[in-house]
Amino acid sequence: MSYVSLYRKWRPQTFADVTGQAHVVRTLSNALAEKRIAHAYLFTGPRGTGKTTLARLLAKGLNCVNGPTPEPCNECPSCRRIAEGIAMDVVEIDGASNRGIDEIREVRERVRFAPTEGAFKIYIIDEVHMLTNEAFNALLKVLEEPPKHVVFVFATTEPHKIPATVASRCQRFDFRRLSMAETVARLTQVAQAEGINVTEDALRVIARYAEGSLRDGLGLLDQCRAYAEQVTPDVVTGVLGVAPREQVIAFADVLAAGDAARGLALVKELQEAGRDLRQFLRDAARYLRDVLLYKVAGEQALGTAVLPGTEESEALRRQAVALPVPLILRAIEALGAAEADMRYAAQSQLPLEMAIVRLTRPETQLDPEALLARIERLERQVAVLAGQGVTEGSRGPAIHPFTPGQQPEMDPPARGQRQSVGESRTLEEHRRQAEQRPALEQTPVHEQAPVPEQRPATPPQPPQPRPEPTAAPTGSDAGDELALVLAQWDRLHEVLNQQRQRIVQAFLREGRPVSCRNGVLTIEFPPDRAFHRDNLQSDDNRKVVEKYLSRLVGRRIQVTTVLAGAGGLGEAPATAADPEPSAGPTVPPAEAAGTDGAAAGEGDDDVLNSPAVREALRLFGGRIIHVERNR
Amino acid sequence: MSWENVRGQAAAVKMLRGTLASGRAAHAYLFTGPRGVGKTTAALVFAAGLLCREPAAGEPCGRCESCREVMGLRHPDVHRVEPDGDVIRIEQVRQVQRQAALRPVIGPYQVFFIEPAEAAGEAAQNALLKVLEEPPGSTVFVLITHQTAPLLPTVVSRCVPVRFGRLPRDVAADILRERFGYGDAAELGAALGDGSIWQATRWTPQALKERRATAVALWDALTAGPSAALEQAQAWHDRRDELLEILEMLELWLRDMLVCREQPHGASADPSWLVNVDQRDELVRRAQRLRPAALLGALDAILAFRRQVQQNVSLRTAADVLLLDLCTQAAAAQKG
Repeated sequence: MSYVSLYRKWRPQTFADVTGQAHVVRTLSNALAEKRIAHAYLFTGPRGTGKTTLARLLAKGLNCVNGPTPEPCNECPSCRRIAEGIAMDVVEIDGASNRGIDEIREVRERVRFAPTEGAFKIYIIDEVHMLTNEAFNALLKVLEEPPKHVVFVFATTEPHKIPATVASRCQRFDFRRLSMAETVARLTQVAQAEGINVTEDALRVIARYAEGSLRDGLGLLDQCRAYAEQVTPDVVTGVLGVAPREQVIAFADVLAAGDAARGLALVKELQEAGRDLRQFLRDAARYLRDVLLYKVAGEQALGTAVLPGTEESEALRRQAVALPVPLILRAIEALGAAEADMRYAAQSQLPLEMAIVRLTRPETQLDPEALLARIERLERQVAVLAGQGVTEGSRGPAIHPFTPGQQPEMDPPARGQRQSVGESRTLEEHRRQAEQRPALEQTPVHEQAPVPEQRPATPPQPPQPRPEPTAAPTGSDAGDELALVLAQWDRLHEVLNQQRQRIVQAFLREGRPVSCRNGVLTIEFPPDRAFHRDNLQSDDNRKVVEKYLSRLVGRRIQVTTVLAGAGGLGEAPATAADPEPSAGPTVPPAEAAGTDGAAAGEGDDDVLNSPAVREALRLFGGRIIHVERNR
Repeated sequence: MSWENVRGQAAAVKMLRGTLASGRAAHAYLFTGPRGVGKTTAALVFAAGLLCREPAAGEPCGRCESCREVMGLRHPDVHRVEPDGDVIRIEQVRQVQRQAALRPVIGPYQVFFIEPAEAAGEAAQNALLKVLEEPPGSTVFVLITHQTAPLLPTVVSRCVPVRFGRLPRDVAADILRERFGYGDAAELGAALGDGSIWQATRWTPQALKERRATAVALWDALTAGPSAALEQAQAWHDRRDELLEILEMLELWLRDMLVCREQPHGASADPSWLVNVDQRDELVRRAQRLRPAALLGALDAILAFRRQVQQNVSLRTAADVLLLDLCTQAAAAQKG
């Protein structure tokens, strides 16, 4: 005979045995005690929470010789038959395979006959959401006024698929996911009764992955028993193919230390052990959430996330101090994105590896969050330095605005809260400053603190003030002004790229800055790049360049463009006020139509002057070499 | 065939063997894991173990008539449910229910393989639920799937899950060497297969190396600027499928450069970190000059491209955008 799995063997046989769902158990018991039986019940809730079990218990309670009773005897023939699943009066229908109108009509026919053994006929329809519309409608009438001896119990995981007309004729009970504690309690009970050698830690791991479903939890326990004599947390993670807790904690340590190499080594370990990387992403995100919770709620969070006094709670405490809130949020987001990307990667570990490099190397990123993370890191280093006796004054003003976020040592939760409030305020101020400055101020602003966007892409070297500002010129020394622009030229490309201005960047790439006087920068294009030059000159694109360049250089810069060989550098550059660029050896498109028209041959003026041709030339540039007529 | 034939799946094998040895077979199993990692082989060995006349410690003898019939897929108590066309239909499931109600013909069990389980539509899966939960008599279901997402949670939770992971690289390389004759390309093939023999054997060893060379050449060409990107877009215009494959190679190549950048020991680094093991020196040399940010950007562009392709964005447009993106990143990467 086949082995009966734990979750079937340990299906509760009395109401007292049911784990969780106190609200359902109590209501049903009371109804049985007071003999106020509804004619139809709807049990809904996630898988493995006790719907079918309670449906059968209800049937037992109704048909027991002492019934209706909340305490079925489990000894009378009726109770025994129900437990064995052979009772005549309890009809269990699989709604998914018997979903048509014919099956339901059959039920309707048979409902009329009186029960053979007990007082009631109980119809349990499992997976009732799978019935067809017609089948539901066929049920309606009999549901509304069923014979006195009939009780319907519908069980489903998807209550939204039940027509309102059916649902409103039922007493509805919503089953909840079981809590960690409830799951562990029941697992402990079963393990003891079955003589399974399992540690408490292991049971907690099982409960965590059962996600509130006892069937999943008992199934997992069953598997672990087949796997090893003594069930430890490692056995459970081995069976599930998930990473052991230590590795999840190690991942958080990698983030705290900003150690990309160690992070990549961790991925390699996971991969070689055949761990489920997708699940690892989820586990890591969930763990970081626990850390976040701890930072915000303090010791209160421990009970729900991990048990106090364990190694895990120690790690949680340590990492709550080590990990700043913005980094945690960024990490949770990055892990979620990596999970989505995993579908599209040729090698499944790649998105995780990318996320690790991103999170441990914020300097590879230019989005505001990454910049915040870098500032955050600086702030902490400043705090450390301050703690070592380096005073604010001796470090110069560059550091000054950041200090409000830093508080000396406090107990962790309080510190976490205070810190995050402080951070958001100071950073907000800085962002505002950064946006306003280029627009409002014509004069250099070197004396002030560096703006986030101005930072070079090198790893932060905190205590030193940024070198550029002091080296930058203050007057209109032309050479130095150009040098200032050139120093930021590569960064400009990067910023444009980051800001999704790739088209502008593509045009800009073809030119090079040749001079800069009084805040007017001249960009020169090779003769054969008139197309790029014209496009860059257009108001929209030029303003984009001016905006970002001004920010990078820290002063307002206007941009003009010129074609090489178009009459010397800096002479008659096209400016915003001069929409038609001056002509040169390489002719801008509008004029090209006229001048090259002669080369195309006599008698073609009608073609050359036609609006369509002119427009085409204006848009695309080029020259007309030959006109061929269609006869 | 025996458990030895299921390689690199220690956890799954240990569990299934333990189950056979203890005689506590559950009524439904769900074998999950990528294609080409040994699920079907394991299912056969497991069925043989259940039905074998002289099993020893969870190992089918492999000699008795029962074992030979299972291996030859001729055993009257082993039923395979396969897609009829593309899907497993509800009628097939009803047939299973009827069959499951009967007694086994010769062995102690009836074994049903449902492969691939995700081929069963929602209705068919729902029809399976009841028989999966409490099957009549001595029945063992083995559902085999490489993607659990289409399976109903209610189906999954009724089965004992048996997880088959991606094969560790050395195991996959051994298999490629021994059974497929990959020789010195076995490591590369194993890495490119991402732990799946099915995926690894899409290409011959020779093709692997050629495609990689093409991928690297594409990357180099893109550093020349946007006009190069447009030239490449033109060149690949008629070879879109090939482009998808080349991009897989490029993805691994860029990933390796990224890893080289972040490795602690630079040139003396452990080559087992890399996919393109045989190109370590070249990778290290190139990686020194590169910017991680641009590499990440390029990888993002490739992933975004694949997402677009799956979402039915015009392949041509997507490829043009991708090549321009890659070109920007390739140029930026060189400046570090």
